[in-house]
Amino acid sequence: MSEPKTDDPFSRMLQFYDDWTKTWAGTMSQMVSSKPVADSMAQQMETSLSAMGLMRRQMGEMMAQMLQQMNLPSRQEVLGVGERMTQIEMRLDDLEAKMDEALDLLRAKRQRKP
Amino acid sequence: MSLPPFMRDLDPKNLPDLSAEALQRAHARYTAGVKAILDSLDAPVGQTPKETIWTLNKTRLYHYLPTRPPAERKPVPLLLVYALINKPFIFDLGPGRSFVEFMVGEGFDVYLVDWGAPGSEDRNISFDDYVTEYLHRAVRRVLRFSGAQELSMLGYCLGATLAVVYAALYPQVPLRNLILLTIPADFSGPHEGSMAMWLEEERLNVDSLLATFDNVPGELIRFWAKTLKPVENFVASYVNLYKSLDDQATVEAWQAINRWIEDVIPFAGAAMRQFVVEYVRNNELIQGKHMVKGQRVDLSQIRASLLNVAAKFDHLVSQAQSESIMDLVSSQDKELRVLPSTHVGLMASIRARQTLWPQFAEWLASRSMLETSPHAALGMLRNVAQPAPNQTGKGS
Repeated sequence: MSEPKTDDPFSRMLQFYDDWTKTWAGTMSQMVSSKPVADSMAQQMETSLSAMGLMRRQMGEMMAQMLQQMNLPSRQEVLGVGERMTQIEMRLDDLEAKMDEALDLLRAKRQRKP
Repeated sequence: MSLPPFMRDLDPKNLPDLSAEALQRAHARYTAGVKAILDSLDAPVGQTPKETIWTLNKTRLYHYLPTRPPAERKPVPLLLVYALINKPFIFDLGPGRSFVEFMVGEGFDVYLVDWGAPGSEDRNISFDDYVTEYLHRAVRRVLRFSGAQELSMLGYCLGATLAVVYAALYPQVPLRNLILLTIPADFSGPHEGSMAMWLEEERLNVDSLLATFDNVPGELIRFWAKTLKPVENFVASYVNLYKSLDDQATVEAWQAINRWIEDVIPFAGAAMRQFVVEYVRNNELIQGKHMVKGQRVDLSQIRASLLNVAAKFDHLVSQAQSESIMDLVSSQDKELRVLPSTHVGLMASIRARQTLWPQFAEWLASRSMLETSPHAALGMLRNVAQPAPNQTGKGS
C-alpha cells in the first residue's frame, strides 16, 4: 500500500533515499573497506602523489633559482626562520616559568621573615 | 510487474502533487537546504566565554570563565586535549550543545589546548614533540594559572593518545585523573573498516606523501574518514538536513557539526610520519617499545585514576584499539566504559548532553573534591622540557 501523498515533490525521492540508505549503507561500507577497493584507491592516490610531487619539486627548484637571482631568501630559509622563532618562544616560556618559580620562592621567604 | 520495495517510492502512481504552488514550496525548501549547507561553514561555534592564557607557536591555551560561585567550583582543573586533526571546537559546538559549557556549569575549572593549524614551518614537529614541547608546557601553565596542585586531563581521539604518552612520560606531574575518549592506542588487530586501514604500508607511502606536501592536508584525512561510511557521510547526512529544515535547533546543530567536519587542518608532516610508522604500523606504544628522546614510554607509570571510554558504534577507532591499555597501566582506580555512541557522537549527538556527559562529570566530580595532593606541583615541573628522570631507556 502506498503512503499518503504529500505536496513536496522531493518526498518520494527522500523516501527512496531512506530505503536505499538502509539497504546499502552497510554494503557500501564493507565494499570500501574491502582489500581490492582500498588497494585500488590507494594506488590512485599514489599515482596522483607521484605526479604532484614531481611537479612540486620542479616548481620549487625553479622558484629557488629565481629567488636567488633576485637576492631574496629561499623558501627553506624562511621556513628555517619560523622554526627558530618557535625555539626562541620555547626558551622564553621556560625562562618565564623559572622566573615565576624564583619569585614564588622569594615571596615565601619574605613571608617567613618576622 | 511490481517494483521491489525500495523502488516503490519511484512508482509514478505514488508521485506527489506537482502543482505550481507545490513546486514553488519545494524550490524554497531546497534553496533553504543549500543555504543551510553554505551557511554551516560560518556557523557560530566556540562561544563559551574564554580567555587565552598562553600561546606557543600556533598553540593556544584557553581558560573558560567560571559560571559557578567559588564555593561550588571543583578545585582540580580539567585540561581538554583534542586531536591534531580537526579543530577542538568539537568540545564547544554552541550554547546547549557544548561539552565545555556543560562542564563549566558543573563547576569544573576547564582549560583547552588548541594546537592550531601547522604551517610549512611546523613540518618537523613530531607527534612526540607535541607531548614534550607543547603539552608539557601547557600543563605547567594550567597549574600555574589555576594555583592548583593537581589536574585532570581529558583526551579525545588522538588527543587521548597524546595524553597517555604524556602521563606515562611524566609520572612526576600531579595528574590526578585521566579520561580517555576513543583512544587509538593498540593497532595489533585487523584494521579493516577503521581509519588505520588507510595507514597500512601497502596503502600509504608516507615518504611519497610528505615529499609532495610538507604537512598532510586535512582534506585527505577527512576523505579517508568519510569514505569509511560513504552512504552516511555523502548522502544520508544531507537528506537528514533536508528533512529537518523546519526545526531550527536541529539545523543549527547540523551546521555546527558540518562546520567541524569541513573545517579541517593539516597534520604536521613529522607527526603524521611518526604516528603512522611508530604508533600504527609498529604498534610501539602498547608493546612498551616507544622511545621519546631516549626515554621509554612505559604505560605502567600511569597511576592516575583512569576512565577509558570506547564508543560502541565507532567506525574510526575500534573498541579493541582502545581497551587493551587497561591492562598496562598501574592505576588502582580504573574503569572501561563502552558507551552506545559513535566516535563523534560522544561530543556531538543530541543524547550526549543528556546521558553521556553527566557520566563523565559524575565520575570526575567524585575524584576532584578530595584533599589535594601533598606534591608541590610547581617544584616538580621545573625541568619542563626533560622527560621523566626515573625512566632510563628501553626495557628499563
